[in-house]
Amino acid sequence: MACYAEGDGRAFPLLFGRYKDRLYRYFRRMCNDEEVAAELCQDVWERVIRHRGRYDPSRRFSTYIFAIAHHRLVDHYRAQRGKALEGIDESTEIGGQACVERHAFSREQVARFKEVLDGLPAAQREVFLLHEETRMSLREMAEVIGVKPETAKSRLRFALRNLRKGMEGYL
Amino acid sequence: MTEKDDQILKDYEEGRLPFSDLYQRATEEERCPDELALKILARGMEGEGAGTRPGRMARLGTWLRRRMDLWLPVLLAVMLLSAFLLYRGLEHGSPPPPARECGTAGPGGG
Repeated sequence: MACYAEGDGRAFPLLFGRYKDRLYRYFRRMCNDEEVAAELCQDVWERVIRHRGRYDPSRRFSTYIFAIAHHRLVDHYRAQRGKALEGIDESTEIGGQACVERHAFSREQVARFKEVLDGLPAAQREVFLLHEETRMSLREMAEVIGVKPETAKSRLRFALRNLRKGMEGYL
Repeated sequence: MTEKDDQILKDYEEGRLPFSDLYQRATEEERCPDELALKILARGMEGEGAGTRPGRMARLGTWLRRRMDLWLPVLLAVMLLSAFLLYRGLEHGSPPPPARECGTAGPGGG
């Protein structure tokens, strides 16, 4: 990104190649809508391109781009449903659905996982996605979503707890 | 938060929970659509002067901003210290001139 910010246009395909799918999956799982995900992706990249001169090379690019993505997502949530992403109770627990056939293997497990993940409260789902897509530290995730590191940690713990609960009988 | 929650986090970070594998399996076919990717790529490479160096003023601005990030705290500290010393100086007045000792050579020789 530092090269691109300095005006080297050849750096862009490299940068884009590394992050295009991660960003798309982040929006895809946060919005549950392919078209919206594509639109939000385009907005974020547009912003990266337009404001490339303002990039601070001391920051990691993943933190930079996902911070833009987070803000765009918050705006989208507000426009769509009038609710803030942070407003969702971070300690919400979802109910487990136990006693489902164990022998229907991998495909079932994967399908169930998707279902449980999509059912997580948005704030918990977001930290899990950020961790999976970027392997960011808790401190970096906190910076991206604008909360204290303890809050990010707490959200990730609740997400994991809910995932485990939701996958009972499948693992 | 309980110790049990901490353990979940530890297990996850150390790969003892299968969620990362499941996530990869669940999303392996989710890719940024080609049409969109091409559009953004073209925009990134051609749009708004990408591929050309930013102007002299823009580069000067970036240079100054980076230097300021570094030196601003130092500058602030120096200013605070100067203000403090000035305050102390005003509060106690200027120090008296050093007393001339007897027998020392004055103007015109001794």
